[in-house]
Amino acid sequence: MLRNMCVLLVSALALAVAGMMGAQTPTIPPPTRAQETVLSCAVEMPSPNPLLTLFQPGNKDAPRAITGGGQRPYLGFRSCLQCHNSGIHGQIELPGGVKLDLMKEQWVLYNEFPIWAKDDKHGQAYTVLLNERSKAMGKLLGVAEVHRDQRCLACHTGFPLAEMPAKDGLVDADLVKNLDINLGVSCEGCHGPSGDLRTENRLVLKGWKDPHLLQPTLPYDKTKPWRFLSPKEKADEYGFIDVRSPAPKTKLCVSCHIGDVEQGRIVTHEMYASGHPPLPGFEIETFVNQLPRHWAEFSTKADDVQDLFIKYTADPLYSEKSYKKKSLHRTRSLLAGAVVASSEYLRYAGQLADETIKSPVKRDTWPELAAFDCYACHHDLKSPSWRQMRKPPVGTPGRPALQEWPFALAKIALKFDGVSPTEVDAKLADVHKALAALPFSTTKDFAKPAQTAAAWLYAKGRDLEKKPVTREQGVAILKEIAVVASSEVLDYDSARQLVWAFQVIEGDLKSDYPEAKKIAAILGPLGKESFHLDLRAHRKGATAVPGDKQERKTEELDLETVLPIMSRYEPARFQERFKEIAALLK
Amino acid sequence: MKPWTWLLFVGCFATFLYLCRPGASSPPVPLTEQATTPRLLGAGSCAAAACHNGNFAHGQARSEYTFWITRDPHARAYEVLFNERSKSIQKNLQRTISAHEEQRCLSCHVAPAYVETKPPEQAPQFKTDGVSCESCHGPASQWINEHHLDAWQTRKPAEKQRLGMNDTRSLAGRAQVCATCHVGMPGIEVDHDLIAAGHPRLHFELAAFHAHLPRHWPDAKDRAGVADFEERLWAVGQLATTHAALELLADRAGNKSKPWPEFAEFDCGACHHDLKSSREQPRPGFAKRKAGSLSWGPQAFASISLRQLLPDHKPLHDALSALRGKMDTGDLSREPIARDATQAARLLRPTLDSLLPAGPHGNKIALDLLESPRAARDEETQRLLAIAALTTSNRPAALQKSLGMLRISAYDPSAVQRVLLELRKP
Repeated sequence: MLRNMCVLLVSALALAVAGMMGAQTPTIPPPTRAQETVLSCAVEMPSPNPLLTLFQPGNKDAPRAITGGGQRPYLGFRSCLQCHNSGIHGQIELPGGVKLDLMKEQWVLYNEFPIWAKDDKHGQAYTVLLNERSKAMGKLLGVAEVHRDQRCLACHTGFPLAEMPAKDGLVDADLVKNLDINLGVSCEGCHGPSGDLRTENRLVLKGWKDPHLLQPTLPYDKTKPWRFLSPKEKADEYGFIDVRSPAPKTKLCVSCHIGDVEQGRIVTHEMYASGHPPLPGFEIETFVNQLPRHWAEFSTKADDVQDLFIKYTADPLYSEKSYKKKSLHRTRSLLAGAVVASSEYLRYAGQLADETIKSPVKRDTWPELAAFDCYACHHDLKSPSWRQMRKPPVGTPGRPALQEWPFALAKIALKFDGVSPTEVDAKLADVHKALAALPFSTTKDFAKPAQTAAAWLYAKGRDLEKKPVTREQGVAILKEIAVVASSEVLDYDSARQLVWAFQVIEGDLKSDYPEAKKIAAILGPLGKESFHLDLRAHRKGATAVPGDKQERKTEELDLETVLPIMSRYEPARFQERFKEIAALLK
Repeated sequence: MKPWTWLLFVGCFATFLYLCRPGASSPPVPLTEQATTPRLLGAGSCAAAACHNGNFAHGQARSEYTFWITRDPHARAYEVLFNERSKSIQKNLQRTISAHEEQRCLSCHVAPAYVETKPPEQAPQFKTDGVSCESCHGPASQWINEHHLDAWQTRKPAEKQRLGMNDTRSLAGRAQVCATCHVGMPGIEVDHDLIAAGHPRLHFELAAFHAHLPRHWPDAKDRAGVADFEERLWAVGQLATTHAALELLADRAGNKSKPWPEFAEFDCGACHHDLKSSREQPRPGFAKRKAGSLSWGPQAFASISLRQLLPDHKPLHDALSALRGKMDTGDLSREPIARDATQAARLLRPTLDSLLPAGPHGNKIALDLLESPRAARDEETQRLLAIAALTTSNRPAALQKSLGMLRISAYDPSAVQRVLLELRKP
């Protein structure tokens, strides 16, 4: 009886959701056996979130993409809505007979989708491909429809390139009307495609969709619920990307926010010159703050939930040694993330220099100017200028150099890990040598050393994510940032990394450290004036998306506001402020 | 005393005087057999009051040295190697010796023929004179004793050249002498490393530089019977500087021991600007160039000017277009560029000797140049300098006024753009 009612409820819900989405029922897959099992056990779902109406799609028969590339199929955000939209009620039974109330335990929030849909700019990633800037870019790039170009879609949707058949680099015009593509970077874009890969009914790769459910398909080992599996097992066995551990998480983000040739995620210099906004330096915690988070951080969960997890988890980051409840968790993530950002930048630059690396999109030839420091060339020619006050360059003046921001923060993080800046420079010596010998160097001289250095840095990043950061250490890192910021002449991006990091650590310390108020009074105005990040403060716009009945609301970056801030930046003032901060921290 | 003893005495004295004349230690060598390289003697050899240091009024014969040493900035070329900028350049290049000991600097700041490790025997302090007489006119050891004689005037420029004297009389010869340093040649060049270390970049246009040089020779002689002197100067300058630039480019691209891509070949402003959105700073656009690729710099204008000057020389224009195509596309493979540059230089060379029986049609070319679309700022500057030179003999009042706004010594791209914008108005 109860079971029948539940099935009915599910069907009704499915219809209701479909109705709100304006799509026909078939676009939402019928509940799988697993879902039925879950729901029949413990769970009931309230009505779908009205936020879904934000999108108002008009197309009735959005075509399904095909499965391809020997990867797990992408199931689409609709398959997540059943649980992650407006919450589910019920209990979960964990080993030892512990029963937890799903809504109370907050292991999962179950309202991830509305948070994402309302505030997360990843939801606009595709829409911006249809705005004026993108059209202007298309003109210069000789691309008629930017929103169909594989090189753009590689980052501007979470939908896998391999599942979007394309002709001459352009994805089928009808296919991109599919919400799973044009809602930008949605669930599986970051968490990984979740479906099972089958060939002729034979299961080739198990997807994470089923196993991550509260009560997955049988056989189900009650002693090994999804949440306690190690991130490695989840990734290797089921294709669930590790977005909890700082290093892999950062690596995932920067696959777009820096680039990854193997995934076709390349912002070329041609694209920048055509109008693509400059990618800012990446700082994981600052960016996660901006998402905003659609999860509750582990340290904020209830004690019993934490204890239970620590007891049963196979995740090495939560071993006794590597997890301390009272430590600074965001700072730890920031430090590991900083080093990983530097490793991934080098890895990407090395990939760009190595033309043998395959990419799903058409590649440009080396040199790819975008691999280098923008400001090495892009500064007005003037004298005197702060650029001329800097230490003489390491190699030959006038040669394109590595970007500076990835190393500004990474060096501070590595120092915390016992690696001196001199040692870091020694690890990078071959890379610098190659770039000093010949502008842009060559595949042979540059790609290998870059990859080697990247691998070393990544390993260091993984080291750092296992090291809890005490409050004292947090304050010491603040001091170190202040010393570096006041003694070195940093470029704008590097300065911004340090300000962002300072603010994250300050927040992690809950402003409870010596002279916090005075420091905030100095840093606040400086940050606000020159380095402020608020993705939701951008110009409001509206963009028509093919297939939609009405325009989508967007927030668009105003380069006319942002770029002059970068041009006006004067390190002397920045150094002065940080001298004051360093003095207060002594 | 018998008359023949007198004769003997006078004869001996004459012989003595002859032996004691300047440069007497190296008796004239027959022109056909020049075994030794001409040597530098130093500005002192020219500076006798009876020769070129007459201390007469400006432009008078026999006062060339006087005028040069008092007015010509070339005379200060060596001194600048001691200033703060030069020190900082050496420091940035991580050189342990000073600029005034650096061959690379001395080749232009003293003379192309000057060798620091082997200073001229007769003038060990040669370099302290900066760019002096022999830097432009050529090492004098083999012509100093002859060049004041009537017989010298009958020698052909090629013969003089063989003895070491450069042809600075013909405009083509003069242009090539200037181009040696102001454009550069293989081994004597200002590359991007040097510019990045602090050296000002090179930007040359013969007519404008010629007009601003304190000339130590009679201008009237240059202009005798030539109504369109500046136009010719501009035209010759285009050919000579382009030729020099192409040879240099061929070497830069072809010589694997040199850095490549050599950024000095490209338009500085194409990269060196703060990041700005297109709305803030309207740009000339990329034309046929791939967005974001490097843009061929100071010499890019040559492909336009030479089309005006040599409209029928299809092979040359094809070669230059091919080269510009490569320099602008971002695919900067060494060999094809070196090949194209060599080919274009080879095609251009003969035109230097044969150009201009009648001079270019100044105002018409100026108008044509104005009609071409807006371009990068170096190219625009060359365009404006061309228009200024080409209209010297027949300049509309409006242009006169616009040009009055400019000072060549203060290179200001935005002023150049303003003037051109004004001129381009229909």
